Amino acid sequence: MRTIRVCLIGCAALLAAAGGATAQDSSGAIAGVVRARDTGTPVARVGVSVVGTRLTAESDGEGRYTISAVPPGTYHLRARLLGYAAGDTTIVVQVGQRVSADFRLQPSAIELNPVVAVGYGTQRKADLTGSVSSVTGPEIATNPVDRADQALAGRVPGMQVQTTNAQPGSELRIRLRGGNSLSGDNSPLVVIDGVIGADLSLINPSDIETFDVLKDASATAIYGARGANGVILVTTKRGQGPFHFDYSTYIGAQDVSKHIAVLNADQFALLYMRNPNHDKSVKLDTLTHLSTTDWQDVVYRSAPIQNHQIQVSGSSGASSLLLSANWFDQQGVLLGSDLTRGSLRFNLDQGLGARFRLGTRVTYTRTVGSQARVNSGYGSGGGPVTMQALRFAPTIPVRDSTGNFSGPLLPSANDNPMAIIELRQDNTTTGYGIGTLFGEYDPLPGLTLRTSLSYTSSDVLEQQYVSRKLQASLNLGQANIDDNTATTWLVENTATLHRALGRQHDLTLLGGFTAQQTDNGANSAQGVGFTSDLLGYRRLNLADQVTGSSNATRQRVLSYLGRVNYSLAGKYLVTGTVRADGSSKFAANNKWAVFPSAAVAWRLSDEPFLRRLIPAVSELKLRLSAGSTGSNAIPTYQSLAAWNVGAPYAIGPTAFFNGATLSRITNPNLRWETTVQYDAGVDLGLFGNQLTVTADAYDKTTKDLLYAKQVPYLLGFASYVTNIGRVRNRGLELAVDTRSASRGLEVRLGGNVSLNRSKVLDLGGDRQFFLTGSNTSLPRWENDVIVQVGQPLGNFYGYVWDGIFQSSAEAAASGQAGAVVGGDKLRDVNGDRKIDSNDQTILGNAQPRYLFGLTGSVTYDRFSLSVLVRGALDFQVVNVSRAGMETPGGSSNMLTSVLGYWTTTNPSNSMTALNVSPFDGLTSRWVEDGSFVRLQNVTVQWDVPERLGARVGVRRLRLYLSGQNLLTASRYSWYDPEVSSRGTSDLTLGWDDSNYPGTKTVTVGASVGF
Amino acid sequence: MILRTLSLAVIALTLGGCRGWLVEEPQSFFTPDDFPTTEADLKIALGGIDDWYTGGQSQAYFHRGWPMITEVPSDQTVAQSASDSRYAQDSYTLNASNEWLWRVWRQIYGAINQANVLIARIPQMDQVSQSVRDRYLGAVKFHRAFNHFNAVRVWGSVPLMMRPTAEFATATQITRAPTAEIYDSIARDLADAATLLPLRWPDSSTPDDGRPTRGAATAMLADVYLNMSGAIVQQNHWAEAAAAAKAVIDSKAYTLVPNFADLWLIKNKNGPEHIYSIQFGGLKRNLFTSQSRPSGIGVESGINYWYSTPDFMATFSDSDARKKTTFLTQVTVGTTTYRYDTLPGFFGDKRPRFPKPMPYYGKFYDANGSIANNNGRTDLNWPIYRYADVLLMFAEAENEANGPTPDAYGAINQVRARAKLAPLAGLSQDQFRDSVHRERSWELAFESKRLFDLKRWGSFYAVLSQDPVAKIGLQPFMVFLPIPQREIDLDPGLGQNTGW
Repeated sequence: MRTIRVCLIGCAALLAAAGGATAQDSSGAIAGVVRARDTGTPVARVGVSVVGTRLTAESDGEGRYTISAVPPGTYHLRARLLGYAAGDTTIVVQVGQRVSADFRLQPSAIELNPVVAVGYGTQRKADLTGSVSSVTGPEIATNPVDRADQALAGRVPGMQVQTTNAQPGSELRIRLRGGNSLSGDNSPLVVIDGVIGADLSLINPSDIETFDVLKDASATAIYGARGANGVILVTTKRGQGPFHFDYSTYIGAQDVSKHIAVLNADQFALLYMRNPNHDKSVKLDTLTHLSTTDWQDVVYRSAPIQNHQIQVSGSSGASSLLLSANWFDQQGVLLGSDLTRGSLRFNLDQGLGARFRLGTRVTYTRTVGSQARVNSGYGSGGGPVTMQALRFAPTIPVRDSTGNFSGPLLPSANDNPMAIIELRQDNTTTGYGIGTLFGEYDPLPGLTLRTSLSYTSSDVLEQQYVSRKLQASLNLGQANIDDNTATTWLVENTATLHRALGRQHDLTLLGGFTAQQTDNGANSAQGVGFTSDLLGYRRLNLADQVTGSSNATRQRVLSYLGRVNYSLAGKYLVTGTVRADGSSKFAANNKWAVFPSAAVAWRLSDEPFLRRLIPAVSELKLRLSAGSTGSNAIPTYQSLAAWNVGAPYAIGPTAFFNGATLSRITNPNLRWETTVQYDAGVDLGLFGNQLTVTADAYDKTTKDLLYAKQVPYLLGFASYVTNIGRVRNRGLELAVDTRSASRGLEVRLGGNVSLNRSKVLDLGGDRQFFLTGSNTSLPRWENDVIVQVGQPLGNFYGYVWDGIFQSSAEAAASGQAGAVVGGDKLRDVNGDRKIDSNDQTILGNAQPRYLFGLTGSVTYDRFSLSVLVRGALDFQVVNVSRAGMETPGGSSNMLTSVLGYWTTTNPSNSMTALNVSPFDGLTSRWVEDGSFVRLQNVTVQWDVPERLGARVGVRRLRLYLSGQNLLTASRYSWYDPEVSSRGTSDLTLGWDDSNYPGTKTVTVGASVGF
Repeated sequence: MILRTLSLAVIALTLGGCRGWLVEEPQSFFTPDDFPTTEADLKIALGGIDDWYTGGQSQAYFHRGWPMITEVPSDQTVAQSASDSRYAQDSYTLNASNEWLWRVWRQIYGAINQANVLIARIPQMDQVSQSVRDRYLGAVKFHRAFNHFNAVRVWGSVPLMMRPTAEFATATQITRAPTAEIYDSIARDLADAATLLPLRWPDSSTPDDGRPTRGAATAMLADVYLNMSGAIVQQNHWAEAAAAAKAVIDSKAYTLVPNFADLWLIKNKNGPEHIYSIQFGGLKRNLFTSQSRPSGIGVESGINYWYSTPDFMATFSDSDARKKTTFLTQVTVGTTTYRYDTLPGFFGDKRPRFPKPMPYYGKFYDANGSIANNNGRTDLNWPIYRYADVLLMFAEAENEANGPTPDAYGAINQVRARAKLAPLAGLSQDQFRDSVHRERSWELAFESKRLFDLKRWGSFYAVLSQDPVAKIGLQPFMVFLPIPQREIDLDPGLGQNTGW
């Protein structure tokens, strides 16, 4: 139960006063002050309404509101504002009486926010016909994440936020209701303060007020050709309340989540020397105790993380101002990886007169970071640090007797992991700025004209240098400099008309027109063959061979959009949207496409019969929506024929680097991928919204998939991109939230679970195609990803592993080429007594069937504890890293499990014999269950009492202790089951190939208000 | 307010009316409408065709793929592996999915399509003078012929692609052309090329700089006629073959390098004996040096993919000056000397399936110092035609057309003289023929000639069924390799070669 203090002042006194002061008619008034429960500060812009009528008012800068012309009666009064739990009270207004009702609102996250952003406008949550979930800034404020979207994990039903690579500054994989496209980017569209396509990783997380996640067609169709993957609308903070100055900080430590058990020096030496085929040029001493180099301890460390934020915010009269500055520094748990970010923000809203409003949103972020080499294979590249940290022989010390980094056990293309860290530089510097200027004008009451102009500029500079001492540069020294720039202009003009017709009809019309242009440029230079490492990439001229290249692309989008929102008696809601997008990326015959949607909703809870029947129901809305959205995530110029320039060739003794090869012919019919989505949803609230349930069921089918259809090589090409193919995603989402309060103790529990299944319906006549998910250093592991009609995306394809051959007779009779006793046995799936490609089958799938998140918070007086548990169930991961570490007696380090190698006296069925490598291809031996449940976040918070704070001159002080990713329950044997070394792709998802390990973080933080 | 709505409307109309605003104009690449336009453009387009030869995934054509399907299956070379796709080629146990089939096929047809695009484009290039256009037209016709020639010798009947690909809808209906028709087309292209091409490109200091020349086109034409006169096509073009070879000889553009060993050094590449070689250098270095190097010789080791046989080495006379250069039997690295057949420092591969140690390739050994740099790659060129080859082709063709004439003896004896072998005299036509056959096997060892020679002499099955590795899977129909399975899957109209 919410604790609210309602103050009823003596009716009689008011009655007398009201007689003269208020209006001549017999209606009364309601007035009061709205304050925040935790800080006591007045809250502005709170919508206080009399439920069941259109009487409403908004609190001002001092939190005061007044509702006039209230007929006498008993009313349910409700105060609502984004970011706060609604306040409810019942009041009685007598004739001519002025009733006082104050509110103390509790800030809170997920809840039936009164107003959500819906794309080109806002809408009351009560009137929403589409599927939208919201997460507010305060809830994620204490999460020490290096990018804002990471904090959404587990909080939104239907949204999968996956850290595919835990290295600071790396990409993140976000999917809403599954991935649609085979070749395009399936990430949701990010819109920050109206800027379409902005980069959430380069925004200061503390600047964010809300995330509104648009999931179904009715909500996303207004984004037309870019809405198919869902939309994340981000609204940054506005100045509020009297001017105040806040400083918040946290500081913490991160640690690797696990230590993989590998052989120590004695065990390694023993097995190596026992191996009859070991390279005789190396002799290891098996008689005396050798000292072990634990390479994992050498390269991983406990790494600090800190964040400092200053914010000035306030509003006075018609101005609201927010200024913020942020500095974030994260060292990675792997040496050689780190990220530092500084950002500034200036948000101004200014009213000019009653009808005109101007505003600006300007932000600039600069990041500087170093990356360690992960996720790539071994072979001639020297190897990634994460792999070498496990495989480099434990008998070798970090440095040899001369003080140089030790080499590998046998001459080979492997580098000492510390050498890779110290002798390889990979620095990325990013500058990102967004500036938006907008103006709104209300020529007539209910009509708002808005125009906005925004400019986004991004510059990413990556500078790499690989030392001459590393195999990775072929001992020549190699420098790479890559600079990528992108600038975007966006002009949006909209007109919104709101009309209430009589007491029953409410109509909002929106029409608009936008234009956008993005220019990308890339410049790169490479130098190979340095005489010394001293100058690195700062002096490319030192190299024997310097080459350079540049590239530029441009794309443009023109759109017309419109929306109609109609509500009848506040109970029957209808929404229709349409958007026509023209994009330069599409072929001459198909430049324009139209995306409509329609939705209806019925607020059953406002029906009198329901209120009588089940009074416990405070909110019940049924929704249905259908619509189409598009995806234009294909490369620019794809419909045009092209020559590629840059192939090296030689004429006599001279080498040239500008050979031209034909790469594409014209496809004049290339067009959008279209997604048609149906959604049915229920929003239920019981007991005054103490218990809320939101459920959605959806079906979305994407057709005209852009797919590189294979053609015979005899045409001179391998494939051509065309629109064929269909993929479907179907699923359910459920979110439940409960609140209870008694005697000062408030408990909130919430949870969400979602279930999604994808299926390939059509590949344009092809039955399937293959990709390679493992890296290129395992050349026999080809075609281990299969995309097949009737199957979901993300399937692994290979042989079934059936244990170990226990006898040579068994091996000889197996029909398996290269079968030996003590070696891997493969299953003859089709029973034809030989092992060939017909025995390959689907071994697992990387897409989780179930995603869930559980949140809980307990607040008592000034303390609060909050917990987030999340997980993903029913999916597999291919552990490629392990595949190279289970050869007993090998010359690189192996897992301790090899100690149980097969012998005639130890007939193991899970480990091969000495010197016998596992089968060289994907088998089910490497496919592991990735399901996990993770204690994502635990935070304990204390609001220091005001009087204590006042002693040190602060208005407000909050301290907290937070832990991230403290515990993970999973059967996965490697560092983290969420990784994906092939990036964020949906097809090659779930491959763990020397990825960056997950980390546990503990932080301590304070937030001070002056 | 009226002003405001008006101005918005104006903006909307102007931009909305600007349909041209959405048309894509490439900023950083050429389209076939504007490229090639100048002579300089043609130069880089021709260089791009070379990229099909030296680039591609897995070093698909003249690094690794080509010897994989044309040299390894012969009786002069053995693959080191006993179980993978190399072995499958060597032992004739492969199937249509063998990776080297589609890898080479892909490069071949990629080059053909690019040549076709240029053949169609060049006549329209008004800004370029006629003489330049002729030269380049000759060059691209040469490339079209060269690749079809390679394909027809490996696979027999293959698709004859004479026009650039413009659309993909009819891809599933393309069929293979009869071998004779393909050969006719090749011969026509080469005859045209020979007319259009110069003996030497104006900006070149050597007759062979990697670009097609008249000598290259004519030498290849001789080779084509020899193939057409052989057991596969069974026509009679011996006289034309002899005439073509003679034209190369009479041009006096080439001479034999006196010391056979010098021919194979990187510093002597594109020398007076080279007529046409695939160029490697700069960022494109070859892998074939590494492939035929042993792996047990310290820092000079290679990746040991294949080697030769002691039986083949034994066919060389000890006085043959080519023997020492052709085979690698001894290597000194630093202070250590390795020998292929004796300890210590034994490097010749010896396995239960080979009773005697195997000698390695000597011809491609040169690495200009050390192979340890640059990931085991070198700048050595891959020779397609050498003057010695032309002399032997002349000797063979002349013998078939006119019997062993003095010209024929003259040609073959030049080659033998360079090899420090006694000249031939007084042989019958059959004996002369056998001598030429033997001489070719010694002179052109490991240059991907042997297998094609056996095929056109009709002795493919007879000879290879005596080879201990080839006979494992060999059957007579395997004179042609199977069409890659992928091509048949995507274009069922192709059909498969008999027997596969």
